[in-house]
Amino acid sequence: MGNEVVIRPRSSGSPTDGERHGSSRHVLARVFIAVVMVYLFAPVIVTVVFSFTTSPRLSLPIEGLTLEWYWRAFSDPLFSEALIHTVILAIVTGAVAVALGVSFCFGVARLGPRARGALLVASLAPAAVPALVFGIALALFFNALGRTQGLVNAALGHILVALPFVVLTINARLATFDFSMLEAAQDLGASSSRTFWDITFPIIRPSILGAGLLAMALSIDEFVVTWFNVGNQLTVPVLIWGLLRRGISPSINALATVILTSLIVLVVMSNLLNRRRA
Amino acid sequence: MNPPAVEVRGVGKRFGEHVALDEISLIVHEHEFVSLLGPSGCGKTTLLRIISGFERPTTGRVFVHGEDVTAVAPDRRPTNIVFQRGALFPHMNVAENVGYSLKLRGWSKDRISNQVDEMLALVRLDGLGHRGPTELSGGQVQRAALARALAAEPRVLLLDEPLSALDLKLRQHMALELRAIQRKLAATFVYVTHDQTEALVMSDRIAVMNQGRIVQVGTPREVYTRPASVFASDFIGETNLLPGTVESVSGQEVTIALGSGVVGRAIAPALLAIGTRATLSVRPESIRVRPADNGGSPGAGQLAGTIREIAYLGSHVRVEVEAGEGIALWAELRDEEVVQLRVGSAVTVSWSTSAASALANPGS
Repeated sequence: MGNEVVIRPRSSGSPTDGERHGSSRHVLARVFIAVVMVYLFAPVIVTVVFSFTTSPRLSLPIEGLTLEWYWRAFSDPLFSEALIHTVILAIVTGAVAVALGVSFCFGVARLGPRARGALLVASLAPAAVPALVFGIALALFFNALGRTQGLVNAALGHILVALPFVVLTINARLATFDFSMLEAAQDLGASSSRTFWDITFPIIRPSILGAGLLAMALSIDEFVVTWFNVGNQLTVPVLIWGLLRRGISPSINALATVILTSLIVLVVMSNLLNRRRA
Repeated sequence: MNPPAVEVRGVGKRFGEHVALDEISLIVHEHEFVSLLGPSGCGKTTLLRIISGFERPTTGRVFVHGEDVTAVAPDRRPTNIVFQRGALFPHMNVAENVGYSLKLRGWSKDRISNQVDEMLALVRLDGLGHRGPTELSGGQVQRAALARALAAEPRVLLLDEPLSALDLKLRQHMALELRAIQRKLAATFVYVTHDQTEALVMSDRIAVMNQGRIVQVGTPREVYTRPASVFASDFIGETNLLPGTVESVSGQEVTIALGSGVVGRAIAPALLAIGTRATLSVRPESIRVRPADNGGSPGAGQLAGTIREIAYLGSHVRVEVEAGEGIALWAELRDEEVVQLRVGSAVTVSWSTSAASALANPGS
């Protein structure tokens, strides 16, 4: 602490007073940052830590470490059903949201600036609608169409939730995309599908994968919209919510940790891919 | 006789209310280098995109070697285009870029590689085939783009301001090289530019465009020395534009009253009626400036004036002369021609009649 840089206060006073005053401000700032970080991460850390402890209760000191809760969670037939559904939803959401988002962005890019701006804002608006409103609105809409609740309805909801983020990602990539490359390819004899597979896709592939992973991450932990539309089917978040009603078991910590890990992996990969420039 | 390499017949293009091209007709012969020269927004790029197939004309037809290609998509036209910024594919190296059209045609690897090597040698990029587009300089990017377009063996090569992103020195150098490549291949080039120097250096013929029309077509010398309009004379090269009234006409030779008893003589490319307003255009390098004879009045075809400014520009000296009220013109003289001239001294200004053009005022 002694050799740190001291910001001298502008108020009058002896240098020693000022020094003490300055370093105490430093300490306060550090404490404040520490408190915020604890607030942000403590719940997550508690969940992860207690998914590995032998005690069935969330109590300290930790007596021992075990993978039993993971084993129990994974051997639960309800969990495997929920996991399969969650994976299916994530893949479908990623694929469909990316296909829709990419075509939308390429279509919009050919419009004039005013129409493009208006359509982009309109396509991003769903991200601002509260999930609760979205969930209820979709449930009522599907009900009016006479559709029974189930995975398909949930998937349609997930795609809607993920689409604005896909559009945002792809649109950012297209801002620096040289469209004359596509004309060059066509000029050299490539059909439009050939142009897409030879030129467009390889160039924006990192962004497409990044957007897809982001869409999958959003789908995996989506709960509210899912809950209102999935009917009596299970996804991992819906299963966890059901288990929570019967009391907190360390298996829930294990499930939450699994979800957390997969989300961190997806989001980090998505960011890395989007940062890469062809 | 063979049909022309490119024939544009009555081609018009509207974007909504805006008329980009107004019923243009143009013929480009085989082995010819033709430049479409004009300011931005004159329709030159639109015309090139119509020839390449990226725009459909609203009216008119386009023929390439006698074949009507008006409704043919760009990927099926015997034309290839070099884009302003190269538009190289960033995920392919130079050789893959150059060989792309051949790969699409299903050529064998060996055959592609031979053609690619030949093209790279032609544009002097030998040995750089393995480089990525980002590892090339601006000039090399445009060379690679040229090689890529030429590798496809187009019957007509279209170039859309390919040098505009380069700095002046490189641009001048590349212009000469482009011209040499075109000669070597005996290829047909249609070149879009807003840079008159480029057009003058490279072209067999220049089509001067303004506001969606072709206002003049001719060899660089014709366009420079015999501009058909005030626009053409002003846009290509530098010139003195002196407004006046047609006083007398004798064959092609016209005398224009420039005001307060001062007259100038010029050649009229088109008929001008006596009494109409007209503009006399004379290039600064065609003007002679001599110290005035003591007491003598200027002879026929001469103007009396006073020197306002002398600026030394290295290769030449720029002299500004006021010749009568409100008539200001400037001349480009060689250093030894200005030895006797001083700012404020009385001079006689003259030019040979054939070096000046009498042009109808725009809109009249």
